[in-house]
Amino acid sequence: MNEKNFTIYLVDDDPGVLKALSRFLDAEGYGVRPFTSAQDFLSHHDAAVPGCAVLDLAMPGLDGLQLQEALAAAGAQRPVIFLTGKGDIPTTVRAMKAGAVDFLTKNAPKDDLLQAIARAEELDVRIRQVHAELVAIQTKIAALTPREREVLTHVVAGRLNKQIAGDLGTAEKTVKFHRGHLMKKLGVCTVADLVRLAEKGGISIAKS
Amino acid sequence: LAKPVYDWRELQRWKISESRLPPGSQVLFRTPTIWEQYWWQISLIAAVLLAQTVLIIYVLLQSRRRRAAEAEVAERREEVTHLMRVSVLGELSGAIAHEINQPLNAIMWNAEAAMAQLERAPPNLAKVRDAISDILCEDNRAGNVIMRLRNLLKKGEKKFELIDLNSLIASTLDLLNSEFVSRKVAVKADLANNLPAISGDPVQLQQIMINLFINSMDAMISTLEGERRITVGTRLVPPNIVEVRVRDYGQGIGHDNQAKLFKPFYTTKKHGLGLGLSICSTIAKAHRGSLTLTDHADRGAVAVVRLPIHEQLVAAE
Repeated sequence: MNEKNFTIYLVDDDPGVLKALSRFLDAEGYGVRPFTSAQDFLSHHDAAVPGCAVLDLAMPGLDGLQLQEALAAAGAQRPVIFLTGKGDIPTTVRAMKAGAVDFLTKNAPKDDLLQAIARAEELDVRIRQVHAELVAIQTKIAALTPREREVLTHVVAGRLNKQIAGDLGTAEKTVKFHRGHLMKKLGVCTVADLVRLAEKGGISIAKS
Repeated sequence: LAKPVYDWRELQRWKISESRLPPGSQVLFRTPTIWEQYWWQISLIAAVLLAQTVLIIYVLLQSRRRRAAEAEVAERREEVTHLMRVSVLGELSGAIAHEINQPLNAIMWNAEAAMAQLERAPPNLAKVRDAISDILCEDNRAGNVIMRLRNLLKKGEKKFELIDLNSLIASTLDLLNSEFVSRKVAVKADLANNLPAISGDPVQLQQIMINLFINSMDAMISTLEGERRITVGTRLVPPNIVEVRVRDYGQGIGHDNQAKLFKPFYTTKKHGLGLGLSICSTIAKAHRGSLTLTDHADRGAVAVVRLPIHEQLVAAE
């Protein structure tokens, strides 16, 4: 049962607490995937599923912070909320610096947890939007011919058609043709839009 | 004038007292009294008897005094043992608090889950029932931790009972679980099946186990995180010894420390009192067993506790 289309990956080495928390989140309408160890979680984690991770801090094997690092290293931008039995300032700071959504004690009021999850949900949506946009741009850029891509890097560098033609050793007319073509392919009308898109798509600027 | 002469036997026969005879009478045939005949023998025997009595009284008093002194020593030892137990538990208070908090947290979230479930339309009553039944379980679990603690803290007299060392070790590992986790120590238990029971004081034996585990953890402070391991094993050493081994992968004991290990007030720890091992060894001896601690050939140290199987069980076999 996942009414909210939001899955919470729950990791806690204490089976009692894990069961209780997943029961609560289930009653609140979330999809829950409970795991008793970090390794177990990592091997079942699917970055494509919208959701967030609620991690216990102190666990045998990989602890919460190390798990957060492992997730980041695997390239998964999963919002993370920490639950801990006894939090101290250094670990809290480390967790928040590493991008945790929130850092709560295990006996925090349920509203705190639900609010943190709501924030994680927003963050997840945003991450997914950015990611989707990026993927769209990248597929568009991938559809360009090598020559068009070359022209794009020069255009983004703010160079005139004439200069580009000189650099590439072709006629200005040809450059103009490529330029028109690539702007149509990328779906932009102005150079400003093109620059913004290229920046998001990670196109590097050509050096003159 | 001749002195009157009397026959002593006739005087006895007619019951005439010698004081009634005229002065200067001579009494013949007098039979000497027992005292006159054996006076020195009697004196000697009396003296010996007297000396003996005095000696017996002295010895009795001495032994009573010794017993009183021994009882006092035992009491003091009991007090020190109890104090050490309390101090060790004090050091572990964070971990133990965590061990009690876990079931409390579970109870809280189960209760929240039941509430949230009841607010749904329609509520899934089976899930509410599950949550409540888990609340009962977790309550039990918290109660068990507290009971274990109370037993360890209580200053009871020594009581000997039949003990399954495996379950004693398992319960000790449970109690120390959060300490192991927060110190990043992996524990592997390799407990023998069908281990015969031993007779002993469960609280004091658990004290040995707690001390050995803490020593192992302390020894591994400078060990790399992934390599901090403790293995605990039990086995039967035929015919009648049960053996517990606790091995760590720490810095080991070192030759210099080997001899002084069990001496009171000898410690290598910064905040140690130096009483842990000495008390553990005393407890083991009081159970007619032994405690030894040696470096492992490969790495780290091994503590071995040997305890005799309960006698009636030996006889039964």
